[in-house]
Amino acid sequence: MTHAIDVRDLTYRVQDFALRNLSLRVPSGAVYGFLGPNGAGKTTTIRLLLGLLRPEAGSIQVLGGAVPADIVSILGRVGYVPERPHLYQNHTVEESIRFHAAFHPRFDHAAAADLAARFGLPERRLLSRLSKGEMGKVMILLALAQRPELLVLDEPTDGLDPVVRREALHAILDYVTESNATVLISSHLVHELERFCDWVGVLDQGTIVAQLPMDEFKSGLKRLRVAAGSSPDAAPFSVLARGTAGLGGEVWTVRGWRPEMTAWFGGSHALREVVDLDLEEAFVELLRSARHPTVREG
Amino acid sequence: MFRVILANQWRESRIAILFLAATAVAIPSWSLWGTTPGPWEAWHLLNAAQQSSLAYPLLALLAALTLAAGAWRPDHRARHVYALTLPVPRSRYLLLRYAAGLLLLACLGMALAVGAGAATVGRTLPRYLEAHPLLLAGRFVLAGVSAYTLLFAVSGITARTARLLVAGLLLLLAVSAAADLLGLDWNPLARCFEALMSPYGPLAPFRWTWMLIDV
Repeated sequence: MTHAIDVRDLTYRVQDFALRNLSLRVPSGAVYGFLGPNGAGKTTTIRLLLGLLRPEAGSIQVLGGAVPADIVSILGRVGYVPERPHLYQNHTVEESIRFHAAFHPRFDHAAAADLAARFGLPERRLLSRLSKGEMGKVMILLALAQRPELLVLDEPTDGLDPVVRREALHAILDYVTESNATVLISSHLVHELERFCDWVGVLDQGTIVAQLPMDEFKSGLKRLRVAAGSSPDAAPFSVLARGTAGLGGEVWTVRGWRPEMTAWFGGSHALREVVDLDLEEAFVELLRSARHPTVREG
Repeated sequence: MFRVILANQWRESRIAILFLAATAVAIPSWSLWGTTPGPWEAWHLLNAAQQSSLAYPLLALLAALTLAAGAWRPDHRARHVYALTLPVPRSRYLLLRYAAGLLLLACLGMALAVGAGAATVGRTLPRYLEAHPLLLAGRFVLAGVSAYTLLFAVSGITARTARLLVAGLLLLLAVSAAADLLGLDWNPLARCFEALMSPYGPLAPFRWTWMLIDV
């Protein structure tokens, strides 16, 4: 498997925050959801990937090139949508497109015109007079129209209304389907990524907590309702959290669950119910277990 | 690339540039206003040229300041993220920004040449006096380039470097004041200023004579 992004043992420190020995691998052609709570280090990691910050240690490879040595050629193949608007506010939408196109030889003017019409963008309006949603659309338009091999989206839909968010995500998905580009999308809006990411990486307090295919992430995380007195000792799965439930039972949040593991309970009716967790619940449980690693691995 | 950078800088500073261009066109005619032929014409003309000679370096300084600030303002507002994610070497981007400012400065020099030419062409000057519209415009451009280069470098620095620069200047000021209080004949701030303005210093063109009409 080739990797569009291959980060190894990355270390970066600033004031009271640090990324520690971070390793991140984004398979080529994947839509990689980069999850983490606010302040986890997602934006810092992305800035390191784009050469905006210099790491203290570790190596960064993006699209086969080393960062920062090959950053100019890499940036020509990467579309970037940052968390906060970064475009020149004194430009109109039309001028922004012209400006961006001048620096990107593969810029597709027809695609830009299509997207502008699809998003309903007022081409003659100054960016400083656009709404937050319109500004987000302009940034996505520019990133897509430059026909990148890798899209790096840092909270691209944060603060946007559901209609705009849907339009933006659809445009991104259409592009990915058509071009087989790789996408790294960071967000703390877990449910948003659930629908279209095929890989997920979870970052917390500057450390990667989990990195795996989405279906594996979702399918292995379950909530088990078990009878009182059951013990997870020697279980073939990891127990992330244990709590009490009504009627004298317990609730275990587990990772690495497979259907055949019901046999481990020995048909004693100790296992009462297996409940699927949605990505958000899985994410919360994962963070909880990463921050308080008192649980036992199976 | 250059064209879009130039358009960006023009959009950022166009009102100030148009005002400066209008001033550059108007100053020469305004300075010679009311100097009529007569026995004292030569004296009047030299006096008028002398009095307005301060306006030209001041205009060059203002133009440099406007263009240098305008060159970086869009990037400062965008926290430089957009510029740094463009697929172009940083040195080249810097040169593009610098060159766009130079071109706009040259346009202001042309405006001054046009204004100075219009004020003097067709005018019969007394014996021994000559008009120097192109020389004046050339000096304007040279002084503007020197000041623009310095101010472009200063306005492009990071907040951290700016703090260091201000701290350095404050230190020089404090040392100069202390030396003055102790009665020492040594003023580092004045030395720095002299070095900048010396005949070989970067701001030397500001010391030249800026007479539209001279002997």
